[in-house]
Amino acid sequence: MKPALFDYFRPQNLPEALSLLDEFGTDAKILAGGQSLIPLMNMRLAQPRIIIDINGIAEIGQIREKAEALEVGALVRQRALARYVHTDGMWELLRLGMAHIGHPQTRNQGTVGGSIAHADPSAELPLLFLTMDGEAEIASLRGNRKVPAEQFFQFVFSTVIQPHELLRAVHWKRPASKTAGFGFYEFSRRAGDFAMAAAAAIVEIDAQRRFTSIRLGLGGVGPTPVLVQGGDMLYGRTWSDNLIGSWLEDVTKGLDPPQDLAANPDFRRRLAGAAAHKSLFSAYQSANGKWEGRTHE
Amino acid sequence: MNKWMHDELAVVTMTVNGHVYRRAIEPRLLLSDFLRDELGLTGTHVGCEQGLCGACTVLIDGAAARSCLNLAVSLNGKDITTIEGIRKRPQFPAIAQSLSRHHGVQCGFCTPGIVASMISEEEATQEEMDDLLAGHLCRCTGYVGIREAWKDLIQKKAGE
Repeated sequence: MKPALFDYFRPQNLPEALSLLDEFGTDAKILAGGQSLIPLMNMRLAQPRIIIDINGIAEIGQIREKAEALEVGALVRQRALARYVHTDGMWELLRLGMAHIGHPQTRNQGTVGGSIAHADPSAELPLLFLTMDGEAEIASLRGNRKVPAEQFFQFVFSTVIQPHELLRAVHWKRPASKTAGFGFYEFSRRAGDFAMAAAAAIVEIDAQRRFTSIRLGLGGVGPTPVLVQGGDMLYGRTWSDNLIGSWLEDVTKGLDPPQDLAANPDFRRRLAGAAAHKSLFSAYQSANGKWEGRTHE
Repeated sequence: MNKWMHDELAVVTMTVNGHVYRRAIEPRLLLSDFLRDELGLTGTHVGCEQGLCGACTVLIDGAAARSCLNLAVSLNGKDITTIEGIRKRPQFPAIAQSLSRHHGVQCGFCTPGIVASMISEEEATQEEMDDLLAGHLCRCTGYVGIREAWKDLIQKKAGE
């Protein structure tokens, strides 16, 4: 298992990379951390004619604190981001979800931008990006643009990024509320495998523990990660297993999960429902804990 | 900007186990094959070549990484440590003794990669250790011995 032949380019700065993409875009693949691309090339499932290695471009390897978001450059390693947000409760969901990506040995190299641009529907970062309402900053010689996560994913391994474009950075929006709770749950056969189903949840509640906001994302259940609609029906109600259970039954009925060796669609629907339930419960508990903490202050 | 066409050889310079090597290689050469075939460092084992088994794990700038998931050409200027370099480090005898005492080695195919992970994060917590160990497949020992050996090392380190 070795990669097929390719021409190799290693630009030193962003303009060089963008000119290469403008010239060769349709024949080229971008090499960032390589933890998804190189296996595909080793198996010859991918045989790009041209590799544009962006590892030499220092300007896209930074994490920057912006007013409303954390700007994570395309080359920031997954482990570096996990370490950066490690002690900050605001980014708890990112930390919880990222712990499931591959292994520490692959997270040392795999990049945040690479995983999101690769858009594997069962990968954690695309799911987190969608659930956390992130924004993609896409650069090209013809101009830059920003695309919200909800419009970013198109199909399995497909995003709105055009062949002449490069994902320059990912913007992670700061949660609006300090009492928001977070939950993440994933079913996979072994630690580090892609999820058979995964769920990420952000829950806000009021002083009476009634839902005021629910944001629920599901992974592994369709050609892209899914942002679940209809959570607003639960606003004003407090937690009950039956209430959540019956909502999630409706939600999972509407899913169209893939059939593969790991699970059939029906099993996947049930896994997705269970993952959603568990992630929502953790998020509710965590929001509840933050209210308790506040009363004790 | 460096560029090499598919039929050209790329010139790379890498520090491996403290020695600087300069080689002309195919751009598609994996780090694992570079180490084994170009440098003769066959202590790095090749298992799955898709990042799952962990046998080929080495240190890239000190961090544990899969040598089969890296193009050598992309690591120009980097510092690599393989098991041949690790065994010259002062921490190595304690690791070897601990693996031996707890029967953490049987056929030994996975061992060089696991030792690379062990030495990459000596301050690891129990949870981090398990997370790192989950990045390796061992078909002989059932992991119990490896885990005990690693735990023992971490506890001794904490006791120092």
